[in-house]
Amino acid sequence: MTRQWRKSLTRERIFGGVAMAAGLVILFMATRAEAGVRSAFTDDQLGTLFALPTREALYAFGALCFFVGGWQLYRGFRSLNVVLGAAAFLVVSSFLVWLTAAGSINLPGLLKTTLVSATPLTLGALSGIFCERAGVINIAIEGMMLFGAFAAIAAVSITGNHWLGMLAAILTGGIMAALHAVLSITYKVDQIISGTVINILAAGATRYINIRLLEPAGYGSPGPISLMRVPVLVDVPVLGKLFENTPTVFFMLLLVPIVHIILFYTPWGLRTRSVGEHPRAADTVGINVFRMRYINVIIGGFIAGLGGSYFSLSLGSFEDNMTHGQGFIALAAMIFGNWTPVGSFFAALIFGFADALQGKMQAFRVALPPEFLQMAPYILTMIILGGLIGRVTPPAADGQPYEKQ
Amino acid sequence: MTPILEIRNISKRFPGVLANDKVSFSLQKGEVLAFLGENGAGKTTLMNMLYGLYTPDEGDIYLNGQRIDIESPNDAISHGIGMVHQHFMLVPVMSVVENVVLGDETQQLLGVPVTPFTRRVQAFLHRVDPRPLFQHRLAGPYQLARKALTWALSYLVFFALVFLLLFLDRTFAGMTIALFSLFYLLLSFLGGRRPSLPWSKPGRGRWLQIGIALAAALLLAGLEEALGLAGVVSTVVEGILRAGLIVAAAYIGLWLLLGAYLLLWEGLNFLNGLIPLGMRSDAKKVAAISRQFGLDVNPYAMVSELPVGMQQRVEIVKALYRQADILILDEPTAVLTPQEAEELFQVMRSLIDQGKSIIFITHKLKEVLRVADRILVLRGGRMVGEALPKQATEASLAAMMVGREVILTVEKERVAAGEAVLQVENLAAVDERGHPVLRGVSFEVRAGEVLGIAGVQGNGQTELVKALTGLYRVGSGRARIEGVDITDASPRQVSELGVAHVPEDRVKDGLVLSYPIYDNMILGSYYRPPFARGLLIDEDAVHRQAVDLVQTFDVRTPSIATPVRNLSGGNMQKVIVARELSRPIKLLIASQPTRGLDVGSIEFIHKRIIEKRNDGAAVLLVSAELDEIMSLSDRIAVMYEGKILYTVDAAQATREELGLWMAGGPTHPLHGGETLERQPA
Repeated sequence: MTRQWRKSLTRERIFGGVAMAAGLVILFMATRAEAGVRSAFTDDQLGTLFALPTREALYAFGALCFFVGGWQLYRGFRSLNVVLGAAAFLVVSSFLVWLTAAGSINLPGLLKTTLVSATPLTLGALSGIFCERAGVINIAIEGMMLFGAFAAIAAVSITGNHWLGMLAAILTGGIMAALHAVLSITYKVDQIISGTVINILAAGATRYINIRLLEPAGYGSPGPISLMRVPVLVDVPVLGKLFENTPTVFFMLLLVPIVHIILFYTPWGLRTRSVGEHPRAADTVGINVFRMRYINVIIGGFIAGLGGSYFSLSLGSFEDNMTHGQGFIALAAMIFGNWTPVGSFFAALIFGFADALQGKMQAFRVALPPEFLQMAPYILTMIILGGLIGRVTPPAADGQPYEKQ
Repeated sequence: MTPILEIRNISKRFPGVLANDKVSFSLQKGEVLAFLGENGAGKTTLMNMLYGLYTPDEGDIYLNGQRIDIESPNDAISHGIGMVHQHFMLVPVMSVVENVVLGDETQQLLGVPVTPFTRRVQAFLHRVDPRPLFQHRLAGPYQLARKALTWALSYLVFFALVFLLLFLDRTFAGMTIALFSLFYLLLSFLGGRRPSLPWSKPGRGRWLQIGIALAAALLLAGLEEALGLAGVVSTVVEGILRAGLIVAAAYIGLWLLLGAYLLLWEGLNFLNGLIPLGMRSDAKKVAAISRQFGLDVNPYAMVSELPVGMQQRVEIVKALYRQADILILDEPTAVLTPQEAEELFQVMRSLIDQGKSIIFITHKLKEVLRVADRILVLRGGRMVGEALPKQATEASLAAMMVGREVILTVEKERVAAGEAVLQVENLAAVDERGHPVLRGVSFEVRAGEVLGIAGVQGNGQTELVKALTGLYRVGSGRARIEGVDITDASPRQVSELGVAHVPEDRVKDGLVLSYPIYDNMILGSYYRPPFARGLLIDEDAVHRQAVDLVQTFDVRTPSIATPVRNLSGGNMQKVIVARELSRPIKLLIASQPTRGLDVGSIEFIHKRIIEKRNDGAAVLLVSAELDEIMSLSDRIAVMYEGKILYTVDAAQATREELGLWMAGGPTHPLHGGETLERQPA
């Protein structure tokens, strides 16, 4: 009997149940909401975009969510992703509506924060994709970013040019990646340990040099990089705000499709993937496994460095440990995105949204201590990594050093 | 006629072994040349040299009468040599066409094929490859300069650090030294190879150097303090440092120059690799090759979803796509069912008909006699004989392979079967994804008989054996040993009932590889006297047992303390057989007991199994080798998709009939497609 029950407890059913439960929670919140209150969504220029009656909206969302879950349990949708997407959208919308009861929220602002928060995450994930698709685990994204962030400020302070700063960040990321490559490919050091070494080194070395050399020389805070405005698009109402941003954001948006094409439609990508899946097979058709791994890891380092420059260049100065764990969340985004650039981008957007929402909640003075709110993205990481992800398949030779026969 | 390929006096040495000793042979165009030999006879080494995975220590290779060098698979491919490896070199998560073109892709830009251009770029880049410059290949002045610079620089760095430490910035120098030392320590602890920092070359000299440098620095410091020679000392130090800077600049300049060249080169290579794939035209090419040679491969299929026989064809297509004229097939039939092997032989025929030549490696005698035009036999790395299939017999080939007469047929007198020892009723089980792997298996094995279970790998035999030995959860049904229910019993309960288990995967399930032989010999009985004495293990008893078993079971090993990891496959298997058969047993469950072993070891293990049977034990033999099943068994059961389809008395079984049942039975089932069982006569 228990065996029967467990067999029927598929992921589909679990999601159905979860969606129904979420619907019930929303309905419960609706009963507690004050009648006649509206939740407004505003824009800087246009003023109020639309205002929903809080209570009625919550009732509607809750019922819909409950229905979606029930339908999934009863009949099942063709694709689980549809249920997931629908339920997530409903839950998030209800939450926003509940949060803004008798108030207003800046919707374009929320979107912009999401995109901006997702930028370093996406870049970190792309970095990880290059490394891991070639078979080298890279948990040193955090360290490479931190080095990049630091190098950017150092270079901007000395040269006065922000673009040179970005270049310095990219190169520094590449150098750290080269170190990782030497350790893990040539010397076959455990890749996790090699990555950890770089992370620790980054935290210590950047702090040391910053305090000992940079700040005494007055090279601490050269000021932020100027924003980039995409002509025409920036004048679009509501969404236009997204097109006035740090240049790194646009680079990220360009890199996602580029990496996708490289990985899946070019000989380079094909070889990279083969090296990460079955290096010996690649070797027997004349592909140099070590070379492919070295170069891909270094390219990954370049991208991580670029991601790191985002932190310091948009702030205009370097702070200790300013990447504060984003490199690790980028790894989670990469895994969540099943080692694909596009998937990782969307995963990063989810994390970015959690981050943006957390900021808004602090502004709304939700009755939770801000420390708890700041945990939101990380808790989301754990939930997603632990429970929600179905079967993701890492490259088969990920983390295994290659030995020639 | 000049042979298409000729090998003259090739030798290859590995540490401690002479893998190939002056091997010579020639391959004619349009010929199937078979290589026979035991495991470790040097067949695969020889082929790996032909394919550029190893380079020969001496000897020459001639292609169409011209001497060639094969240093990498790329060279072999460009000379028209292709290889189908024993373990397929395919990426499972990629499509057939992706696997085929990997490393030799067609490229197109905006729909225009640009492969000729990219090929030319590749060829050019190959010519100006800077990597040899980094690989110590250039002799003469460059090497010398490099060595001198490295030497000078290493001492200067060391000197500068000591100087810094003593006179200028203690923290900074200390930090640097500490960091480098830490880094070095980490590497030496974690890494496989010990990198050597210039000033930490191992050996006594290092301490001497460090001592001298320290003394010199201290002396300088002392002089300055004591004699007031501040200016002089500083000048000297400054001079040394300046000279050092020049040397360092030269050194770094050299490397920067090389590095820049390398970067440019790699960058061009990378850019060349970014021109998109022309998958569609490649797929057409693959389909065309497949049609031409009757291979029937779907270019868009995912490799992981193809059956093994089809994967092998993908490997053949891979070689043909690279215009191979000579195909090396390394033990191609080891993984195939008899039917699939038959199809492979047809493919080989069609390849020969179209002018290809084939080198075929195997240790199965029957196949060699069927498909080869000429047979070469290797033993101990040497060529020991050549035979034509018409004049050779299985026995003569086996004798050549092993170096003595081998009894190929197992001699066994008929023993009257006794009481049922193992009774299995309707056993069913599912795998971790919930798919049924055992679908109601019933049979019994009686004392003094061998029941052979034939079947293509992956039809539930593995799970059946695991279920019977307590290693797999049973869904329903029952298994009993002499009346005692062992369904879902623990492995120890099963073994206590007198069951010996020779597992299918000796490396994973049969042995603890890092343990010495003597510990592996008592893995199932360490907790009982005479090996256990109270809470401790009686080392002497264990050693005595190991010495005894190593002798009786002819395990070839330097000592009983050798970790089993270092033994050959045949000797590993003998260790397992020795352990399992040294106990008094009622039932022997042997799964693929001779997989991958050579004729000599097979003969030995077969003899032991029959001995046990003659002593009155029941034997359940699971094997994918039809010959093994037929020569050892008293009764044969054929397993297919988790069911026993067919049971027959061994004396009445024919290969053809068994092969048919292994593939699922005749197309017209006799009893409405349900389980068909023909009980022994």
